[in-house]
Amino acid sequence: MNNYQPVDAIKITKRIFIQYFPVWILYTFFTSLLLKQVWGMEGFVSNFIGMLGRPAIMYIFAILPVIFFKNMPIIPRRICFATVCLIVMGIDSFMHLPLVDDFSFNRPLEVIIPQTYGLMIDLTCVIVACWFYFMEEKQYMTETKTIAEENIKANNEKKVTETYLKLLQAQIEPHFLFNTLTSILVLSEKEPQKAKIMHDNFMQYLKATLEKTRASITTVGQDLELIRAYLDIFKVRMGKRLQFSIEADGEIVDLPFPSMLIQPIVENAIRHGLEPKIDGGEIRIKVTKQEGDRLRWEIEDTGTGMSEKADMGTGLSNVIERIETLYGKDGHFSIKDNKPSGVKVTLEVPYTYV
Amino acid sequence: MSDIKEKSRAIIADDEDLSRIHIKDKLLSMWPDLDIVGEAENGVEAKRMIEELQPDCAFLDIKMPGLSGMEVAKATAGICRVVFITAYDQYALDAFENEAVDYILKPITEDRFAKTVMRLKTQIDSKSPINNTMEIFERLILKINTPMAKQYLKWIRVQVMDNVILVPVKKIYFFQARDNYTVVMTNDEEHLIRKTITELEAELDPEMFIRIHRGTIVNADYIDKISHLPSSRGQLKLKDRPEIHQISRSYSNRFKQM
Repeated sequence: MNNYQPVDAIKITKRIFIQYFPVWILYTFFTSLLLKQVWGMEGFVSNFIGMLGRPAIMYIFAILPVIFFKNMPIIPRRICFATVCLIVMGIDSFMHLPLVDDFSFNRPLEVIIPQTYGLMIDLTCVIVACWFYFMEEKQYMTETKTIAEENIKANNEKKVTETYLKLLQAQIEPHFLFNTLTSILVLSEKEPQKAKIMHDNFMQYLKATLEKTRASITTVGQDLELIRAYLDIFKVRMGKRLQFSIEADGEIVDLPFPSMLIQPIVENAIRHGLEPKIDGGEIRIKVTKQEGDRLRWEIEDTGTGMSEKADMGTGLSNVIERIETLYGKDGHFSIKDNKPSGVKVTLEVPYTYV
Repeated sequence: MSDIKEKSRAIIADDEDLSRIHIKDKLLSMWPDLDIVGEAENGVEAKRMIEELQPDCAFLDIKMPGLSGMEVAKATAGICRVVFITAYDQYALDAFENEAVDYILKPITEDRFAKTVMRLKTQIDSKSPINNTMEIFERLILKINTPMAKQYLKWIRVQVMDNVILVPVKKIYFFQARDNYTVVMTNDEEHLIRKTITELEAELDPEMFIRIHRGTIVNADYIDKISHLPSSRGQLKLKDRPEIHQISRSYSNRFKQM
């Protein structure tokens, strides 16, 4: 239970009244009857009414702070409630009990009995008021908590689906799709051999994108192949405006690596770095083995660099999230300004991941 | 023939070679007596060509380095008729809705393109006045940029040793003023930047970042608990961080709604 969860005091009061009031009437009735029959107390009606109303009066006073300080944490709230009840009881006893000057131990029995009895009734009333309130408050808090939790859960599920759809949409972005198709179309007339290569690269990219949901484990080598295919597509489209190089240590190409983790970084380098630049530039990708069985990816470009307001894109923010879920604290991801221009992304991760 | 009909002159601007070839081929097959006087590879070149060559019409790709097709059209409004080219792009298509500006989609489909060419031909032959004005293009630029119009900071540039690192704002827990600097705190790192809290507040997404004090902005995603003190001030704690932040009275209103 969240200590800071606010409660609706009015609602709680209503529920207490409906649930406990009949029980309390019965209880008071029988206690008064018992007192009259067994102890021989006089004044059945006044006892009954006095006992019936007392917790209600206490409750009314005690609930006021709960109404006014809505956001009090639960422990101070309860202490406050009980204290107010006790204060009311004190005032009540003071006004109510016959004021006897003699509080010594040798008081006559007919004075001691009503005093003790009055105090007992008052204490019972405090306990009853507090008990009813605490029970109902707890009930209320558990219920509202469950509702809130369910809402959060439903929201989360919705968010996951949305992110997934957005990701899929970003990966097969229509603009990219149609531009690439246009290029293939032209090449198929002018240079059929090149068209075939580009077509194959495009297929490979689409396949990897769509398969992502099914098998999300590939190897470093396979991932590099995919990136090469993706960059080759852009190389054909952008011509001399795009240069790229891919370097990898031979011994790491067979290591398992999450698929489509690097691609959005490369896409970002093209979209935010090279495409807006008139002369284009270069992308360098390097994968190296580091000490302690770690992999280091470096993706640099010489583009326009990133503005602080540059949209992260669903792709890039997804990369950061995935690194967190896959590697936890062992994954390091950083984006730096490259010198003299562009961006350098570094990713360092252990060989194994969740 | 005494009066030789003057050939219509056009320029094509697209940053991708193949795309340019595609448009040129389609244009020439549909409009054989069109004279393509220039081909531009970027926005800056396109603008210069239009100004120098004064063509009858220009085919401008929307997404180009240097200047976008829209910006070129705006800068050269009134000189020639303009047809925009774009690969499927929902934002662009929405922007063209209800505008008297023509556009074609890549890859080009014959019948749609034929209509555009017909319309252009008649306009040029009848020498009807060129009715594109700066206002139209300005409006188009605005419309296309609308999805990104409210641009908040997504990254914070910080200096670490000799490097400038971009920290995603999502990972930032809070900003706190310290002398002339602002402390940027992530889960485990602390950076100093030169921007003031007030400058940051204006640039950050108010849905995500909340100012709780003259010197503090916190990331709402990381709020762990808020305790209200009866004096209408309050305290706030973030997840994973030990600090207790004070909520000052003047900024506490935002929490009343939460």
